[in-house]
Amino acid sequence: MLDEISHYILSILVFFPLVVAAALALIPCCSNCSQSILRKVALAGVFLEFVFSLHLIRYFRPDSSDFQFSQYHSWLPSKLGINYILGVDGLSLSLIIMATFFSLIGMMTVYKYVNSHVRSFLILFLILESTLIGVFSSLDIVLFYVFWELSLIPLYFMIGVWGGARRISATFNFFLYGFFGSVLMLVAFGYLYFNHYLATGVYSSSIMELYSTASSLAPSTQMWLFSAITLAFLVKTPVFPFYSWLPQTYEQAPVVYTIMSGVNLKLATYGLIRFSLCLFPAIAKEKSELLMTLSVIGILFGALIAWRQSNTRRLMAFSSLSHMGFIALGIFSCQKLAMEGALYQMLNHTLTAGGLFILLNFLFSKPDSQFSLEEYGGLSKVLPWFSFFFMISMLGSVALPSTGSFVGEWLILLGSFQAYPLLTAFATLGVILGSVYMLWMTYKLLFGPQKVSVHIPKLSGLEATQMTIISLLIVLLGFVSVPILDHTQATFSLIEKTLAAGSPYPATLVNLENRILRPIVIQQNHTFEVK
Amino acid sequence: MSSDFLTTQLEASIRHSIQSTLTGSILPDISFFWSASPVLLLLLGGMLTMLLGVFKGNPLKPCISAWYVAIASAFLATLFPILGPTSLVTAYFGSGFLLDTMSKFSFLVISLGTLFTLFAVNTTSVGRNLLRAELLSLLLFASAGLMVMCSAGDFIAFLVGLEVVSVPLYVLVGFQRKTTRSVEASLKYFLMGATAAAVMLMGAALVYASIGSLRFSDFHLLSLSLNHPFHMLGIFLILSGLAFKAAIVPFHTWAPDVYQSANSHLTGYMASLVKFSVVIVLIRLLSVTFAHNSNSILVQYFWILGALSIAVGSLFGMVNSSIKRMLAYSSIANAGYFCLGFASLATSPDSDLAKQALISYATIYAVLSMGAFTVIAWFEESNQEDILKHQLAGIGPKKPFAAFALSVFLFGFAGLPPMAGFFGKFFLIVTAIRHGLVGLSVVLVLFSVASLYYYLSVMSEIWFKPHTQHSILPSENPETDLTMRTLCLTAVIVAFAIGILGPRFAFEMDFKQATEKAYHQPKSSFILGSLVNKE
Repeated sequence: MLDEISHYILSILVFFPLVVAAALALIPCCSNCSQSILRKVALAGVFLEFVFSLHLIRYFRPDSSDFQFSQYHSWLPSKLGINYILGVDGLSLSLIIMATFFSLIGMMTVYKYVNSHVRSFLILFLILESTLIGVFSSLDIVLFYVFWELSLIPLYFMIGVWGGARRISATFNFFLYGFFGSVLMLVAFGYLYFNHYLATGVYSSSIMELYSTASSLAPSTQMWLFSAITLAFLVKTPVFPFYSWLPQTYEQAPVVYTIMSGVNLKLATYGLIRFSLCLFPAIAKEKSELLMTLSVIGILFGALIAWRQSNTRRLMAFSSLSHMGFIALGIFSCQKLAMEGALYQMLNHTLTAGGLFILLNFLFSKPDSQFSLEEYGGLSKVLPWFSFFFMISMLGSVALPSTGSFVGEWLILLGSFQAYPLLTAFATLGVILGSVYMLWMTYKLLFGPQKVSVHIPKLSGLEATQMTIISLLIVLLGFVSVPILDHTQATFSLIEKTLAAGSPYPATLVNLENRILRPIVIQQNHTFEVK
Repeated sequence: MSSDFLTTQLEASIRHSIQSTLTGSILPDISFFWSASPVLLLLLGGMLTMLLGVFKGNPLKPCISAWYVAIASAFLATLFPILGPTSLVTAYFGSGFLLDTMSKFSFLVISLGTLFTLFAVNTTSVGRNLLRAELLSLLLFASAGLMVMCSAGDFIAFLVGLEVVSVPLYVLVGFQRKTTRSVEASLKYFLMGATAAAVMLMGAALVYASIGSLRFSDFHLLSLSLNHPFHMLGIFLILSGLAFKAAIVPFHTWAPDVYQSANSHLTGYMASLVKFSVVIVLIRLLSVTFAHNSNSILVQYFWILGALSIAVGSLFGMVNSSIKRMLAYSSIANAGYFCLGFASLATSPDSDLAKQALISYATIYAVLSMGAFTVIAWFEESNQEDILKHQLAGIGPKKPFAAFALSVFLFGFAGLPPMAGFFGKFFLIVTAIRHGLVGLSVVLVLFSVASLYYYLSVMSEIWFKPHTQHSILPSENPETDLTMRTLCLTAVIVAFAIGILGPRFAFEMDFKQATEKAYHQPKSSFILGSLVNKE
């Protein structure tokens, strides 16, 4: 029984939200009372999803770097070699848990903030959750691409329908940027897919097989493919020159998107590790200096621009640019420590940014809000609990020791210092600048002169719950980092070994059989094309 | 040299072919009537509907009896491709009528498309204008012509089919003589179409003069190089005529006008089925290796035309406020996408992958554009010919299902998964990369970002903008809505099914072409030899 669950858990995680979405579409809706039914069903669905995802933590074997809980089913006609392959390793495990957990937090916010077209919003939200997990767990490039592109569509509609006043230009920016990046990736994937056929005579789009194909190509070809694929992820991360969709999207996005944005940006950083680094280890190593330079520019640039923003949403956008720069720096340094730190920082950034956004959304919840820093002041006297939570998230964001971000950034800087000391020295400046704008925002909102004219509601129970959980986690991650790093370390050792040797990434599909990990049996009946 | 040929060899050649055809197969055996039943049924239905119109008092009123006959014949026409033997591969009338998997599949697509159009025509207010006996009969003739085109293995049979399609379409495009624009479009379409046909005939004449045969399978005797200018010119003229029908740049100028001012159902019919049939014809035409391995010039031809079409279609579509005009440019861009497949097929004429990619994208595109234009017809009033983008503002919440269907089709055109367009594009790109056309596939994906812009602009009107006084107010007719919902739901389900399960139909297809019974070997080789010697 347990084995059966382990065999199908990933499919359940990917498709369960869709089932709930379908159920929501079918529940008859007549009045406001049934809207609350819809909300309850959706919340229950997201909660169950989170509970299901705990199965992964419980039965994951941290000592193995292979893809666990894997599944292999044929999808398209078998001679095309495009299959339905799912699997989880240390990298995607933490991200999947983060996605299901943050979907739960986000869904709580939906509960309060979304009041028009509730049913559609809930359905889009559930589709989004499903695509997030799909991206993190698919091990077939075509399947991955399908989920990757699909994740744009629910967000597009969320921003377009529920967003701010200038939402339409934001949707164009958001969608066209994302699409532009990913179509070039599609060509690169097509090229790899075809080259695998050239090399072996069989079509396959499974990344385990493409890892070896990719590293056997000529370096110049690898260079082009690496650029195309990395560009797609750099645009969505975003890394320095490709950021311009981010501030606008953040500014116009609905409340729920801002909370989920932490998870969405991680899709790209996940892709950077899984595809850019593991497919083309030699090129990634060669180009790491350039990419790290871009990341450092992003860190400093984002922090400096954020300092001068008076719009809190834009401030958060540039702060994200700066933080994502740290993550990218860790990834491109190709050092195990730094990559582990990057993953750790992915979790922390999601938490701190999510927490700050929950509080800012609470503050600026009026429909025509300009998100201006000037609107409030001296809140610490009026809203003590709000200020307390705000301080914790803010300190988490500036990487104060004893918060999770400190561990993450410390690991990143330590790792990348081994690779490029000078660049890392500049990146360290980012830590200081990061605290400058964050403290500036805190000063303006919480301390500063009190602006009494504005009526402020008390923090509601919902937000208090969300913030208590998030604050606890922020502090917890600061003290208890070992269990998480233990789960990821096997994977990252393998990635580092791959990068050092420039050899294909050797992980395989495994599954639990009677509590022992065994490679899964794949019935391949490839028909060789005659021509 | 050609005078030599005309005086001495033409006569002998004609006599020979008449004799051999008489003894061989001028009267085909009985299996022909079963195999060609879709064509024959549609022709029969066309004649019957025409007759029914005679007994009608007022010709301007809808003729429902004719509609029933048309539905019945289109429905019966689907039976053979579904029920008929799957392995039957035969040629009738020399190579005039090839029955193979590809033609059976195209019979199915064409008859289903016709059935879909007919059902849609009877439900929308704009479609009821088409419910006149003679117009329905022309529609059936056009479908029969498309089938003849798809099953032709011979230029003559193809040309007959093409004319049987074109002439009814000229009439159908121009029958609404309400505005000068409509007349202009129809006249433009007629003049340019007639020119294209003449050009194609000229090409055929040159080909015949060169090799003494018009069978597609004999085209391998042609050598496409500057040493044989007539060969090259002949093929290029034929291809240009076909490019006209598929609206490939620079032969596209008719498309925006015609798409905009024709009845939306007809636009859908043209965009989907005519383009589909042209793709089938080009697959047949391009699956020959030309003499002396001279295919590379064709690759260049399709490379340039494809890149131009993609660029023009994607960029010019951005500036149009009329949604049908915009979709016309989208169809031009899509014609450019097909050129990836044509160019790959020209590189290696026996590549199954290229044929599979072309057929799957042609089918997917047919489903999507049929659906998209049907939704547009649903939005239109009976005397309206066009919808502007801003008229769609806020239509989403008012007509959620129609708007949802239109969004599915538009995202499908853009190639976003899980809609059908994604796999169509993906396999075209993979095919192109496989045949060394990386540049063209990069052109495709870069410009598809531009074309996404105009699809998104429609989306944001539909879903994101509030309803204004300029917005259309679709009539609330429950009966219309029910039928249209069923039709659109069918198209949406097909689009999703292909998008999620992949275009399996194309990958399970057998591309063995039917070949003529060997009673006649073309004597062309020595003619070719003589031409070469004299030049």
